[in-house]
Amino acid sequence: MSREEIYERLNDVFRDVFGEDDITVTDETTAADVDGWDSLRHISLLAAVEDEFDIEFSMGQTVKMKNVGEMVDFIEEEA
Amino acid sequence: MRLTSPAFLCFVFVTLIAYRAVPAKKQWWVLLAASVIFYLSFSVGGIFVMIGTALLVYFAGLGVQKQKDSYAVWLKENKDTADKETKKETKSVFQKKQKQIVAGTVAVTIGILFLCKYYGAFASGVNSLLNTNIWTAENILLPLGISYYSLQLLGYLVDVHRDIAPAEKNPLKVILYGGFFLSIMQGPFNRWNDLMPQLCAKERKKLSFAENRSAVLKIVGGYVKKLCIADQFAIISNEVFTNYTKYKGVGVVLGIVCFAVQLYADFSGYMDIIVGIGQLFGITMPENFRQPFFSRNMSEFWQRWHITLGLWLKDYVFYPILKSSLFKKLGKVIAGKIGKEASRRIPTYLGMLILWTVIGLWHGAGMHYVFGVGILQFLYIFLGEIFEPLFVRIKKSLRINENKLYWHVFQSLRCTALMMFAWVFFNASSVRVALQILKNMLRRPLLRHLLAVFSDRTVDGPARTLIYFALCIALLIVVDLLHEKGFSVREYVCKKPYPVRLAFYLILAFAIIIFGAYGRQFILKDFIYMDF
Repeated sequence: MSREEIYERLNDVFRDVFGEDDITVTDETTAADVDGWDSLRHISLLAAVEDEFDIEFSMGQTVKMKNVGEMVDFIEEEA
Repeated sequence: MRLTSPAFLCFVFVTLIAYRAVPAKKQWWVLLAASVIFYLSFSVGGIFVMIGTALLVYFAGLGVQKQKDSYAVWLKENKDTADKETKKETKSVFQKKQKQIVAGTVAVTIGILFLCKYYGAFASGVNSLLNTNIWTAENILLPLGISYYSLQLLGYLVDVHRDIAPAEKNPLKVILYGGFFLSIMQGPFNRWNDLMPQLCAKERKKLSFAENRSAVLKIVGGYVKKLCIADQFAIISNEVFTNYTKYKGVGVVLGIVCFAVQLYADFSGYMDIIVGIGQLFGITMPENFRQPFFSRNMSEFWQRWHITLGLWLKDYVFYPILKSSLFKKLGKVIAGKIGKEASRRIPTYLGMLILWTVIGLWHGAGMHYVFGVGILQFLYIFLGEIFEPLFVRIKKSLRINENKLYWHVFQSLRCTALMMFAWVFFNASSVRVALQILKNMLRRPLLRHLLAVFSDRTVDGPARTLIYFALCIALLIVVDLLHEKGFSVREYVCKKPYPVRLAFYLILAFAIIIFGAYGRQFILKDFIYMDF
């Protein structure tokens, strides 16, 4: 799967989880850039990403991930 | 060795000289020796429990690493022959063994914590429930900082398991990590990867004169907060919370406000002292406070108050709960029966309820802790989330502009009031006492009760004390406001010419001498969070 395809699907996941139709994420996007992306929503977001790409984030990745770019790196590797 | 005692200052001074005198590679030995001496000054028996726990975690870390290495060897040998599925299965077998080691260590460490900290309360609870006296729990040792070093050490072990931290080969370094004298008493909660490279640095960190000056100023500022504000406000709050039947109306409100100021000045003052001393050693420690009283909602308050505890619990309790197979199954069941949004929200709220109960229990076994800094905090955040759509509608109909200052002030005052209500439970000796205090607060305010608080317990008269208290609160608000705007008073003073700096130092020194709570008429008080 190409990085562009991943981003296309990932944007839909973000829009669905945060209820905002105009979210577009990039490699540099962090929790601070998305309204409502706090510790309460973080796991919901990861669960939705896991379902979308049929992958599983380890606990290490869950707490270490610093931006969307790192998330996409992992999806690229696993999916 | 109290932090406010001259003995502690001498201890830090001698340690600092030794630390700067030895070669960089040996500096961690100085910190280890200082940590052991510091711990022994409080408790001789407790140090065996602390070292025992550190050694247990040390061996567990090596055990986890051994499993990782074994898998790496297997993978190297079977890289070309094994298919993806076999690799996955083998990895999960090694991971299962790692999880067993971690789970066993967590169980033993939490067991020791329970035995030392909660067994007494548990036994007396059972006794009163059964109306007997069969269970005795006297003389149980409570090692200094057990709630802090236990969690910090377990965090290290979990980080080894999660491939975040390397397994340490030297047991003395794990003991230093657990018992580091600057964080053993009341935090902050450090992370292995942040703290240990600094404690065991191979090269000396050179500090400029300005950096030393800034660190000393932070320490002195911390002592001003503790001695001139926290301990002075404590006179009133202790009186109102101890003799709670005596005070009604405004007197109770005053006691509650004084406790809020006391708690903030006490805990943040402690942090300033510790972080400042750390800076003198060239060690950067995480801050625990970020102007909490300017929070717009309760979630934000807890991102600004006792920050390192919140972050620790998020990474090591909250996320593992939500990512557990049980919660995942629950989410799927809810998704099928109620809907997608509910499947995200309900498990999160359940996880939050567990998390806040843990936070309450971490403070102590009493129900007043579990309710005040546990369940009640959960309810604040949960109800805030649930009623968010309603609040949005109300704000729209009232044409409230959320970006205006008046609204931010209202939100901050609301958070402060909610926390003050919760701290009544936190500071009272039981839920029953807290309820009595709150009931008394609603009774007819009598001015003589208010005046009695001052005339009984303060050296100066009511008017002078009230003015002093108002100035202290104003000072805390102004300094926090400047920090909120990104302006550091400390850095500003440090950059000024020598005469200005000298005047500032003299003001702080005289503030401590004149307004500090010390001497014969004061009972020396430990920092509040030392009890946890």
